[in-house]
Amino acid sequence: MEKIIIAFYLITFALGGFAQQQIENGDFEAWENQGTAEEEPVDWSSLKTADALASTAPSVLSPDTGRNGGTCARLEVKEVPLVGIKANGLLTNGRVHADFNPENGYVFTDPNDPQWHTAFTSRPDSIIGWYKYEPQNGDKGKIEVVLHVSQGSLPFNGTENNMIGRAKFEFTTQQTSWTRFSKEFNYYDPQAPEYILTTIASGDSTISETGSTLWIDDISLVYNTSNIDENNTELTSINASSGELRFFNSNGLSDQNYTVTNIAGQLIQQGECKENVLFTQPSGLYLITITDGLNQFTKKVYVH
Amino acid sequence: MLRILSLFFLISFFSVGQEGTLIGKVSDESGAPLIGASVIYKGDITIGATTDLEGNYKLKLPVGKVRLICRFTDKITDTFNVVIPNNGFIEHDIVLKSYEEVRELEEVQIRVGKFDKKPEDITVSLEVIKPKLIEDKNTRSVETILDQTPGLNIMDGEPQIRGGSGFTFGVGSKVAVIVDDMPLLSGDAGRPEWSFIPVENIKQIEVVKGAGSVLAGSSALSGAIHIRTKYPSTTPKTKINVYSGLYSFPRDTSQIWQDRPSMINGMNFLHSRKIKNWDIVIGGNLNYDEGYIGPPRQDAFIEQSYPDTVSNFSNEQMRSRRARLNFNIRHRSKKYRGLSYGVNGNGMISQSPMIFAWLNDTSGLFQGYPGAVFLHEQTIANIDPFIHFDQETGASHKLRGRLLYTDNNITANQSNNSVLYYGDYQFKRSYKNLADLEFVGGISSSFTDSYAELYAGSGTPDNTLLNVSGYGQIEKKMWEIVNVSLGGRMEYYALNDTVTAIKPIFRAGGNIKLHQETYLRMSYGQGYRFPTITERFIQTGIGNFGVFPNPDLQPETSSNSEVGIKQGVKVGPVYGYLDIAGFWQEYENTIEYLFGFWDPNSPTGAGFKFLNTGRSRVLGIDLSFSGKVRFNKKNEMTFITGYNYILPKTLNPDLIYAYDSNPVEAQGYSFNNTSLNPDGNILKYRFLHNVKADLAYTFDDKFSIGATVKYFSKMENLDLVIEKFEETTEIINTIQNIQYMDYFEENNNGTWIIDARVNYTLNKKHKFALIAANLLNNMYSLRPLKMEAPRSVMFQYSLTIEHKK
Repeated sequence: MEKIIIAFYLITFALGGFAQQQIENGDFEAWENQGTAEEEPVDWSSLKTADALASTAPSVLSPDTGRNGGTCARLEVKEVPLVGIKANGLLTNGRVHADFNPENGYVFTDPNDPQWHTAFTSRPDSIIGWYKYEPQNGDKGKIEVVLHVSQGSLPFNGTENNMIGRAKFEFTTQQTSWTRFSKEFNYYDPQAPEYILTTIASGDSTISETGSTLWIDDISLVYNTSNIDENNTELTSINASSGELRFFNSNGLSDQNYTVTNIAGQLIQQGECKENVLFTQPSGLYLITITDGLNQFTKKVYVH
Repeated sequence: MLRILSLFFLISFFSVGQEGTLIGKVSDESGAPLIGASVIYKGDITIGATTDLEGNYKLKLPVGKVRLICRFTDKITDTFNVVIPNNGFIEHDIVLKSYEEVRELEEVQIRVGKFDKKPEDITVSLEVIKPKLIEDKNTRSVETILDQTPGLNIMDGEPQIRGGSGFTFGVGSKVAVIVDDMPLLSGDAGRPEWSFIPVENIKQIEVVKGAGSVLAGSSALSGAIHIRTKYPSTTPKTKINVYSGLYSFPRDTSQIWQDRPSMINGMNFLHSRKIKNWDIVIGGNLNYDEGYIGPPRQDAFIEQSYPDTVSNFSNEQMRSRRARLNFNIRHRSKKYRGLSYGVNGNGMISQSPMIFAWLNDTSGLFQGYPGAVFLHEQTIANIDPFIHFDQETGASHKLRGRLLYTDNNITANQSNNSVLYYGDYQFKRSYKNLADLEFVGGISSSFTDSYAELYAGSGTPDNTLLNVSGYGQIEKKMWEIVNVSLGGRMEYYALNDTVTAIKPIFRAGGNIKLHQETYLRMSYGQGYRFPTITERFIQTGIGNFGVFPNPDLQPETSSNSEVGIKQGVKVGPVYGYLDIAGFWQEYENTIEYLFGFWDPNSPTGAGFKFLNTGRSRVLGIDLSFSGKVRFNKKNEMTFITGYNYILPKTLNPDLIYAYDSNPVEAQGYSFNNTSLNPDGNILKYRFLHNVKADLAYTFDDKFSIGATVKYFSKMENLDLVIEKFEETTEIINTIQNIQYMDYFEENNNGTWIIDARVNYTLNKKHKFALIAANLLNNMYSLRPLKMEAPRSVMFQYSLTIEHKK
């Protein structure tokens, strides 16, 4: 008869022992050293504060108009004509190590200097955010987040074993308007991380193309949590099947709204949470965010 | 056996001829001996003598009435008769009067390559600068007067003859600079030390264009500048010259960087006298020049993150100061006729800015670029002992030595220190029994001991360079109208006892008198320049760029061929020489200074390096017309005019002469891909057309006015990297913008520059002059990123005291 409806609750970790930390200054509203060559978002670093060649590196980072009228980070791949070497549009919450040979460049966590690392002990579910992208000649950008202990680096350069979890999303197609992205974390170790190392790049590593430009804004981490006392939206359960979405909350669904985005971050559907909502999208993985104005809760749902 | 017998008879034939001896002294109207005057037997002009240091001559002549002529620079040639007694002596003293009445064309006596010569005997292209012009233009440093020589350009201190070299910041000069027959290039860098040359005591400057003499050293690839200092006449003389002036503000008022015009003040003095058998000259110079280029001004945006710690100088620090003291002491032996010995010395302390690039091409043409300005404190001194011995046989021996100490204290760890030891023995003789074949030959050696961290690219800051040369040249005059010279030189070099080279070079030249005052000359000369310590081993980082060593740098070689014709001209009151020369120069392994990514393991990675860039050829013509217009006894005009056209081309535009170490992809370097304008294969940093002219009109021996005109055509080609610098600094906002291309495109149309002067001679003691350089206050640049001086106006007062006996 009707298709089997599978209510797919995301795996719920026993998260009680982990805090729910967010990426610092993920909306890129706060900038420091403004008006200088080292102008950067607070808690973020780029080539101009790299540990080498900072004075001869082009400025690949600049503030620009954000998604909601504030500021975002703009990253652009630039070539140094004198030597024909390209500098990728990089931004990190660790630190950049620049080298004349792009293959020897990396971003890293410096555990010994709080300026160049971001302490982090949570285990988020996903990374989400908004972006615009103008790639050149098939170039691709990325956001990559590594949760790790001890030393951390991207590329790993031998630090793979320190990795606790990782999420990586690639920007591949031109997006002239703000587009949402999300990417779940994969975890490789049950222990809590010590640091979060985020890299955002407008070009494809060592083969980046001059002019590839990425605008990025409002990145945040998403948690699946059982902390029901604090957030009514999290009490809302979702049953999803091909044809309908069903929301249920023993405290009622009043004032709760939902949005559905696909895995590429595109908004699919939105509306008020009801017990039965028509949903005609094909099977696949979707992110459903429920908000009541005060709280927000996102669940990853696989619709068969 | 038959030949031996023939020779015997030939000798016997000469020995049995009846002859006697004529002796005498040649002096000027004041009684001062004229040294080097020629006394020639008109019956056979191959018989002649030259006066010695005391003006004496001695001549064996056939018995009977003979007719002789005596000639000397700027003097009326005297013709006289004497009767020579058989096997006896007769004495005849000659007084030569001043030149005013003469109607015969004469140039000053010229000594090229250590020969005393008449201009019609010269086999090379030569320009002469007389001391009057040096003085009239208030020459404070000798390169400024050289710059008006046709075919010779001074590009920011670097001499360039007939386009034979580009621009390498003065390092490894391809033009020899020779003072009193000894080279005066810094031992480690081969850079001319212009301000060190005692300009107040110059007898004459001769510019030889082309590799024209084996005696100038093989490194004179494209020519040589001979500077000769004076010895005293019999009349003691004291001269004091005081000057004061200022630079005008640039014509474009947006370029003004200072509150008031920069000043120039200074004085020089000279005292020369004979005391019995001693010749003594003491001279000196004090010079203060506030300069026309202001200190660097860093962009505030960059300063916040990367404050300039290299060139953060004040206006005061950019000023130049110089004090120099020199002396010549010679003793003429009474005991041994013809023997003289002495010592010359010179010492200078100075401080001046070294400016490599302007701030920008908008409002910063006359200010320095941060990181490209250095302060230079120099202590330099030489001491030159010598012995000369002129034998009665006509043989001449010269033994000369030089110790040249140079200490350059330069900001940003660019200091260097060197000692150069030079020695030269030269023998010269005219062999009458070989039909007056004249021979000059010798051996010379120089040893440079350099200490500089700057040159540690060799592995040590202590570097040495030894050069030993043997040379010989013969000259033969035939049939009274042909003069032929042949020469050779063998060079040996040893650098740090590890790199050695040995190389012979040759030259040949001829001059044929085609007609009265018409002379055809031909010359071929080779050159060989061993790279200097600087070119091979410099290793430094300045700001964001490095300078990298090239221990494998190869010597560069050249050959110069030319044909010239000199024609005396007399049209009404105009007397002069018209000279036309065509030349062909070939260069191999040319050394140039190029930007690349030479060492990714160094802190700067990219920067400059000296490289051999292959083969090139310069063809061209030289035209000059110099002389006088005599209106009457007291009114005359002198003129020196010249036009030089060159066609300098690479012969291998596609040759990849070096690969760099770019970490992404090694870049090959060729003429084509390093040139801003490779079309036509024209070499970089050359002006194809060049005009130089100087006119001076004297009224009533009191007033004179003069003007110099210089024209430099547009620069056809330069390094592409300059444009890339501009693009790069636009992208990297922490490197101050290097801006040149807009200026280049708007202003590279050729430049006319006019200097002017007015002199008033009150009497023999007092003389006043007003001298303007760059009268029209043109804003112009000869080498990229450096402006030449705006107008300067100088007042000069000269006091000359001649102590009559």
